[in-house]
Amino acid sequence: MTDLKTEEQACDIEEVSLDEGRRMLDDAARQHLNMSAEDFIEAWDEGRFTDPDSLRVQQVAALLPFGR
Amino acid sequence: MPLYFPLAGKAPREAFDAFVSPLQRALSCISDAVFVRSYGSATPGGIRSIIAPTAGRFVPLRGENRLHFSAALQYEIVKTDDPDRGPWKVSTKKYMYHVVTGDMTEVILFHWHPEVPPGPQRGPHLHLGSSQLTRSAVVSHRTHVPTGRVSLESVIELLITDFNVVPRRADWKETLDESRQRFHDWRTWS
Repeated sequence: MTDLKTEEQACDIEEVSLDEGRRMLDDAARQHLNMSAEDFIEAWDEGRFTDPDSLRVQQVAALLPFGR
Repeated sequence: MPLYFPLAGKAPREAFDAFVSPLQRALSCISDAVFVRSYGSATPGGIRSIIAPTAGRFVPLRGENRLHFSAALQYEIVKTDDPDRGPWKVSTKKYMYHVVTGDMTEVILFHWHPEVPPGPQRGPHLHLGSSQLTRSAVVSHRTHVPTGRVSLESVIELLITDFNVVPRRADWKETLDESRQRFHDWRTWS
């Protein structure tokens, strides 16, 4: 078994800034859906994804609280 | 209906710590990834999120199946009058636990995202990935198989016991049991 930081790790959980969060959202949107964060947010809010439950859409949607 | 963890604190930060610490311990059973939290994560007044790993990626898991994993939970820190659970507590609003192969083919996805309309997928459900289905299967990867509320701990246990993921800590069972017990003790629905 690997040496572990466990309980200590919980205290180290990193909070990202809004700018950083927006970058994360943008990176994920480009990686998974080939679109910008701005385009993703617009499409999400307007319900334009044909399969909003898909893996790639959900991987990006998980980051919405980080970047809006 | 929201789910309340114990997670009560005299201050919002205390409630947040009580929420996230068991989740981080559970995650440590299979990965050295650390949750990342959104801005304002320990403050009330909006939907917050924790994800592991970062930016839409997956963590590789040890084991013959070479699986990859990601987890995301959205929550709100709310005030309550319940003397046993307050004054601050965490209400989970949404979760996603994704298990995929190395080339990002879906294996199994656990979802609860009530905001995505319409129909039965508003409740907790799972998707069987295309990698697990034959061409003639009645179920497709788009099928929403209803579930009860699924904890991160239960998904991690499934990975270890049934998907042959190699645990990273010898006390993984105790760690998951302890963490899951909190989930069961304090949830307000199943």
